[in-house]
Amino acid sequence: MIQQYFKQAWRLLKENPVLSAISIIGTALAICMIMVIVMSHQVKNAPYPPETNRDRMLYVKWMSSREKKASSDDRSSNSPMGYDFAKTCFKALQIPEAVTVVSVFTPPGMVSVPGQNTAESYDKMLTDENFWQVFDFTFIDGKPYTKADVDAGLRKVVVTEKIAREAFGSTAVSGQRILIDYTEFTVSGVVRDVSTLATAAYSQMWVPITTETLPEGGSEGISGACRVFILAKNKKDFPAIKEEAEILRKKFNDGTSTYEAFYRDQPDTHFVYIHRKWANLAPDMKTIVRQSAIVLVLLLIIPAINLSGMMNSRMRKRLSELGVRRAFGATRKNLLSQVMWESLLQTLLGGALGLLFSYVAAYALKGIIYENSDMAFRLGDVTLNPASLLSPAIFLYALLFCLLLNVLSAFVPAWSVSHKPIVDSIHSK
Amino acid sequence: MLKHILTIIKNERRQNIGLWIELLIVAIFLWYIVDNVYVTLNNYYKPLGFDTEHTYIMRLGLLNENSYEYVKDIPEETAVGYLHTVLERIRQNPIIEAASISLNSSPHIGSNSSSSIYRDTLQTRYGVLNRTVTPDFFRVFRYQSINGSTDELVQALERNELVISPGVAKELFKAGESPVGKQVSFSKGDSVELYRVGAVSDVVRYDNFSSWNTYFAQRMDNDFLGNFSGEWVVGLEFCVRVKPEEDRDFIHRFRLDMTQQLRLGNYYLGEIQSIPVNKKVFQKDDINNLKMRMFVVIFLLINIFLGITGIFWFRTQHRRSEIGLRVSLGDTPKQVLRRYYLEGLLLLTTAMIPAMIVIYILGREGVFATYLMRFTAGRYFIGFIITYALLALMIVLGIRVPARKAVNVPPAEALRDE
Repeated sequence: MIQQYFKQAWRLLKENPVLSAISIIGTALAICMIMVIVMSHQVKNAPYPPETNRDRMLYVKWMSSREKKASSDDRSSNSPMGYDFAKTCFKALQIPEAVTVVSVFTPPGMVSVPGQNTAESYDKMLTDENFWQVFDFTFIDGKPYTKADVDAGLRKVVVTEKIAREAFGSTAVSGQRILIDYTEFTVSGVVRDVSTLATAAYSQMWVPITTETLPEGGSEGISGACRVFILAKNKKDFPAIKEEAEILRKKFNDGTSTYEAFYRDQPDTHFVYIHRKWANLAPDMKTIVRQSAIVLVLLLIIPAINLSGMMNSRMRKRLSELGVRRAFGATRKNLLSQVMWESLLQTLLGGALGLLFSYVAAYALKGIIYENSDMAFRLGDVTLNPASLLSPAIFLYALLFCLLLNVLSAFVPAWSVSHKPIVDSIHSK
Repeated sequence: MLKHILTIIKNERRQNIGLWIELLIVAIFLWYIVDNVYVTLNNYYKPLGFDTEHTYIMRLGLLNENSYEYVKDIPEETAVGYLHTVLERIRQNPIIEAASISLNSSPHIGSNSSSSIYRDTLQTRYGVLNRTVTPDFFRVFRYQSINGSTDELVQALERNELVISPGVAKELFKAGESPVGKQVSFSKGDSVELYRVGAVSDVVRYDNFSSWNTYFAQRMDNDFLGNFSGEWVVGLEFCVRVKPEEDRDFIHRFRLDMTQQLRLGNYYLGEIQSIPVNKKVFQKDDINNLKMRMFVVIFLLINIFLGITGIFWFRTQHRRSEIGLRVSLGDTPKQVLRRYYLEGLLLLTTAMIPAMIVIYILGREGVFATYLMRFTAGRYFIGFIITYALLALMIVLGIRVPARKAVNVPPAEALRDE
C-alpha cells in the first residue's frame, strides 16, 4: 500500500514538474536558511578543541576602573587588566577548577633559529601554567611548561606545528633552542595549529607570562594587558564563582587609595563573552537576543507562508480527484494517509536538496560565517572544515519543521474535503 | 478595468489573503534591510579624505634584557636619536616615497586617542581625534587642506602649529571667520597653554562605516618620543608610502634590505603590515554584516518569487478557459498577461500601504538608527521605492513563468475545457 502511495505521489510530482520543483526548492531553501543560521551560531558557541569546555567557562575580557568618589561610570577607564590585579582578584578564586591569566594585544614575535639571518613574525601569547589545563591542546611533541617554569620565569615556549615546520623543518623539536625577538628560548612542546576561531586560546606560540615585563597601566594596577579565563567544575557553580569574585573585588578595592575596580557584569558566560565588544560598555544581551529572535522568526515565517500557500493551492486543484476517490470507496483514513505520504515524499526530496544547499552555503558563505575583525588581524588560518558544523540533529529538526508545515497545509484542505458531501467535492473545480 | 481586477482579487480572497500577509511582512522587513543597506552604502561611498593605497605600517620591537644583544642603560636622548635615525634610514630607502612616525593615528587599526578642544568659552561637543604625528604623515596618507594642498598641512606642523578639521573649525569659529592664526587650547582655564592653528584640513573620515570626521593634528616632538622610547616603543607607528612601481612583495624585500640597518640600540624591526589589508580586516565585521543583509534580501526575494509563482500557477491553470474566452474575443495574449501583472501589482500596492504606515510610525518612534542619516522623507521614500521595485520585479517574474504557458494555449483548446 505504501509503495502504491509513493508511486502515486511520484507520478503527481512528475505531472507538474515546475510546480513540484517550486515547492521542493521552497522546502530546501527553508531548510538551508535554518542550517545557515544555526551554523553561524554554532561556530561561535559550539565547543571544539582547544576550546572544548566552552560551556563550563567564564570570561573576563575587559576591566574598568573609576575614582572611588565617582558615583557613575562616566569618568571610567577601560582596558585589559593588570597581571597582579588578575592574580589577586581572579587567580585566588577557590571554587573554579582552574583560572588562567593571559596577555592580550601582545605584538607578534620575530622567530628565528640560532645561526639564521632572517626572522619571521608569528602571533605570540603570554600565559601561566593553568592555561594548559583550561584549554584542551593536543601535544604532538613535548609537554607544556609547568608552574615551576612560570614561577622561575624560565624561557620555554610551546609552538604550533606550523612554526616547528617552518623554522626547523620537523615537528619533533622539543628541547631545541629557538630565538624569539632575538632572545633564546627552549621549545617545550609542539601543538596542533589552532584555528583563529578559537578566540580565547588562539596563538601560534605561548611563553610563560613571567618571561616578559608586561606593560602595567594606571589606576593602581587595575588596568594592564591581561585577560582571565575561568574553568568551572560545573556550570552550576557560575553564580557562586561570581559571588566569590565580587568578594575579592571588594577586598581589593578596600586596599586601594584612589581607584576602584568594577566589572560591568563580568565574568561572562561564553555567549555573553562573544558579544562583549567594547571595553566601556556591557553588551545589551536582552536586545541582542530579542533582535536575533525576531530575525529568526521572520526568516521562518516567510517560507512557512510560502510552503503552506503552495501546498494549499495544489490541494485545491485536486479536490475533485479526491472526491472521485471517495466516490469509489476510499475511506477518509485512506485519503488522509495518502496526502500524508505525498507531502512526506515532497519534504524528503526538499530535505535532500536542502542539505545540498546547506553544504554549498557553508562553503560559499565561509567568509561571512567564520571571519571577524577580531581575529582577522591574526596571522593564522581558520583551520575548520565548514561542513563539520552541519549537525545532523539540527538538520532533522529543520526537516521536521518543514514536514509539519507541508503536512498541515496539505492536511487541512484534505480533511475538509473528506468531510464535505462527495458530490460537492467532485463538482469543485 | 481596475474595478474588474479588484473584483477578481476579491473573488480569490481566500488565497490572496495569505499572499497579502506575506507581502506585507516582507515589505516591512525588506524596507528595514534595504534602508539599512542604503544608508550604509551611502556613507561608505563618501570620500574618505585619505589614501591608503601603497602604504604600510611597521613597528619597532625592544630587546628583552635576557637577549644576548641587549645593551644596558641607554640614555633617553640617545634612544630618541635612534628613533630619528630609524625614520631617516627608512626615508632614505629608494623604494620609499614618504615616511612618518605617529601614535594612534594610522587608519584602520582601531587605536584612537581623542580630546576636547577649547577656545575661550567654546568647547567641542564630542572627542576630537588626536593625530600626533611627524609632518610627513600628511604626505604618507595624502591628507589635503581645504585648498587641496598637502604641503600647506606639512608646513603648518613644521612651524609647530596645529591642523584642525572643518568640523572642529565649525564648532569653535563663526561662519566666515578663518581659524588660521587663531589660538585654541586643550583644557579650560586662564593659564593654559595656547596653540596656534596653522591650517584647516579637508574632511577626513574615520573609516568607510563611520561618520566620525573631526580631528586635529599636532607635531610629535622629542619629549613625546622620549616617553615612548622605552617599553612603549611598540606603540609608535612607522607609516610609509611606497613608490607605486616598487610595491610588490614589499614586506619581504624591505625586511631583507633593512633588518640589519634598523637594529639600533635595543630596537629591532618588528611587524610590518599592509594598510590596505588592515583596512579589509578592520572593516570585516561591517562588510560581513552588509553581505549578510544582502543575503537575507536575496533569500526573501527568492521566497516571494516562489510564493507568487506557486499561487499564480494554480490560478492561471484554473482560469485557462477564462483566458481562452478572452483571447477568442479579441484580447491579445499580451493584454491578458498584462491583466495578470496588474492583478499582482495591485495586490502588492494594497499591501504596501499598511507597510508604509507601520514604517512611518516606527520611524517616528525612533526605532531606526539615525547615526549615519536622519530619518527624513527622502530616506523613507527611497527605501520604499527600492522595496517596491524589488518586490514588483519578483511578482512580474513570478507571474510570467506560469501565466505565459497558460496564455499561449490555443483558445479553441482552452474553450473546449469549458
